Amino acid sequence: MKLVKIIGSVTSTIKDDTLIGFKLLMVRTTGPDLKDTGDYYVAADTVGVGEGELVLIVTGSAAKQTATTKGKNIDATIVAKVDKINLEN
Amino acid sequence: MRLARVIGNVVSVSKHERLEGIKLLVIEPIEPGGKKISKPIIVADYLSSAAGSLVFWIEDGATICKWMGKKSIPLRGAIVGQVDMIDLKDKVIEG
Repeated sequence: MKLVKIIGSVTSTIKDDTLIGFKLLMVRTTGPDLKDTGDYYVAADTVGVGEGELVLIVTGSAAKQTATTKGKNIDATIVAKVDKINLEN
Repeated sequence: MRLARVIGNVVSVSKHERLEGIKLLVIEPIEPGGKKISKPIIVADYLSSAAGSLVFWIEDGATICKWMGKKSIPLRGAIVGQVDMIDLKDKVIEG
C-alpha cells in the first residue's frame, strides 16, 4: 500500500467500459512525514474521499481485490482514509 | 492508473501473432503539471486515442489479457481512459 494525498479529480468520457461509475482521483505519493515523494497515480475511489485527504492506495493486481473493483481494469484503488499515523519519534 | 501524453504510434508488420490487431501507441508518462517523469513507453490502445491526447493507462499485464479475452499476450501496459479534465485545487488541466 502507498500513502498518498488527493490533489484533484479526473474527468473522463472516453474510457474502458469497466471504469464507468468510478470516481477517479489524482493522487500524489507522500512519505509518513507528509513530504511529497513525487509520484502520481490516477486512482479509483471505493471509500468516498475528497480533495486534500490523506489516504491509502493499493496498486497492481491487488487493486482488483475489493468487492467493487473485482474484474475491473483498474490498477490503483483507494482503500482507506488515514486518520492518524503514530511514529515512534 | 498513470497519467501520460500520447506522442506517436508504432507500425509493425512482423510481430507476435497475439499482438495482431492491437494498436500500439508511444506515450510519455507525465505529472499533472505536464513535466515528463520517465522515458517514453509503448502501450496498447482500444479507445482510438490520437497523438497529443492526455490519457491514463494501466501497467498490469493480467488485466490486459482479460480485457481482450486472450490467455496471454506479450504486452504490458494499455490505455484505459482519455482525460477530459483534471481539476486540481489551484488550476484545471484540459485533456
